Amino acid sequence: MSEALIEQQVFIVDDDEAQRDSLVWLLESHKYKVGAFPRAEDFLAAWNEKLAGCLVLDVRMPGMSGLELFEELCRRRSTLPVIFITGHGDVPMAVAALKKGAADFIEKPFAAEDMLRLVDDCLAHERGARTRRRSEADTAQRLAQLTVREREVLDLVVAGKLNKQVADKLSISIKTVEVHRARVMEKMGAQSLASLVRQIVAVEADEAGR
Amino acid sequence: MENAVADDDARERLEAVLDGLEAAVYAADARDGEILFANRAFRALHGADTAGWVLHGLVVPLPERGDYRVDPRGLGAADAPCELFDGELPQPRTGRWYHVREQAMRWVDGRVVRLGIATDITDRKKTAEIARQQEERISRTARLITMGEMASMLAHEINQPLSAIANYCNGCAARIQAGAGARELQPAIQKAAAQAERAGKIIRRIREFVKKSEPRRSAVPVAAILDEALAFAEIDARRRSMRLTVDIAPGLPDVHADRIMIEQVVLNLVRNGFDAMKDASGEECTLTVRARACGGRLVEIAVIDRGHGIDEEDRERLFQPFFTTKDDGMGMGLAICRSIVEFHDGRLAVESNPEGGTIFAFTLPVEDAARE
Repeated sequence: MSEALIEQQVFIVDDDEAQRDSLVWLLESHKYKVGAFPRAEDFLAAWNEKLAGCLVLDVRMPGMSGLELFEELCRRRSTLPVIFITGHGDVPMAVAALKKGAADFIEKPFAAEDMLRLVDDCLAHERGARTRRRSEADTAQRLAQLTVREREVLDLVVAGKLNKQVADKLSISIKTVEVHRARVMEKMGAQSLASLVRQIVAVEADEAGR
Repeated sequence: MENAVADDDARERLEAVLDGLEAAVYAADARDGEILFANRAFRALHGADTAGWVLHGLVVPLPERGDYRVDPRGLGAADAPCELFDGELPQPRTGRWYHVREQAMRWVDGRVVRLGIATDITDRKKTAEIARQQEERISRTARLITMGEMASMLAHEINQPLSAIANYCNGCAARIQAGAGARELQPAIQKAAAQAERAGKIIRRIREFVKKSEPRRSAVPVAAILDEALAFAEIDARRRSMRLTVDIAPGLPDVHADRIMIEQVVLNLVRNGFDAMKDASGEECTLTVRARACGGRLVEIAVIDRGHGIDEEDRERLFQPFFTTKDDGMGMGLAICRSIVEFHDGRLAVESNPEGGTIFAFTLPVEDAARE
């Protein structure tokens, strides 16, 4: 299963039929793939962690409000960026949403190009984030395949030690270090020492960030 | 002899039962109102031993007042028994309310009497009254919704079709550029047209609403206007920990005005005042509403805040529609306030408060002057 093939979609949740339908039309006219839902509850029912793209959400809706949906998605660790559509006087609500991690908000009535630009930014951001998450998962998987000794060699090499220093530290011969090192590069799928370091740093940064 | 003792026993038992009742029970001569019997509750109610009194000024229906459909004073023995009265009466001394039922009966000695029972319904009545007042207040609140809120609601309503139209049109433009044919575009264009109609309907609805709420002017005491409007403002004031003082000059004549509309103006100005004072503290958190005569033919109502004030430049544009200094304002409130006041042949003016803050003052014609 290749995640790269998952198509990004713009999800729209808006209770106003005209608003929703016209936004679908606008986005489809610009070649986006769109999914639309009249109620927050409907989107929540359709949601799963594999959805890719972004979410355009009306703040004011009867039943579950846009803000409540957003909070529920945060609880479910959704990674979809969220753009809020706000009406007159909703700015404080939108600011609250931004503080909680919403991507952006746009005030009604909005210019089409503003909406398209926001959607574009969000999709690019989400694509990048997803690629990053994928390669980190890949790195973690590869790391798990290393032997204990190989992991020791890797850690020292990434820490900037020369082969000789690694050999001294682990009390093995330089020759053996070279063999381990070659196996590490192969198992990690690293083309160069630099790319190996980058992989490890990314994973560690992510772990530290959690 | 034994019979008489038995009769006395029976009478005592009956009186004990009647005295035990919470309701006041009495019997009085139908012709002259002389009280022949009164139980304990009735005596307590009137604060004295009532035997031998006449039913006058007590919580009972009075023939002189026209409380009866059939005057009991003219009833003969043949007319009894019949129902005389069933209604609610106040006790003027205590202000409590009683449900009173009276029947005409033949007394033991052959006279026609009014036999009555009065039940205290003050609490029940009070509950009902509170419920009624609340209901009235709610419906008034609905009408007193401030113009700013009204404008905001309208903006939201009109926004929906407008942004839909924009979306359909922008989508069409993109598709035309990409070489789309008429057939592909048609549904979106039709939908855009339908949305334009929707916007039109909203505007028509506003127009009808405005027509329906055409002003009805009459003589209104200034105090009544301020009481009602400030009852709502009080709630606001408490929530914002601000003080509201009212200063009404004594002996003001009635004004010729649409009460609800002027209440709206006052409420709007007061809320604006509160908004202006949101960063004030202590002594400065007091807003004053003052009413006084202004020559013989006008009454001036002034809303005096101690807030941040308004600079010269903003003051020029203050009454223009859509001009606002608030983050979430529509800029409609003052414009509408001024139209309402001008409709009443008054003037709404703004000046700086020498003690800091702003004074909004408007005039209304007094009732007599308006009628001339």
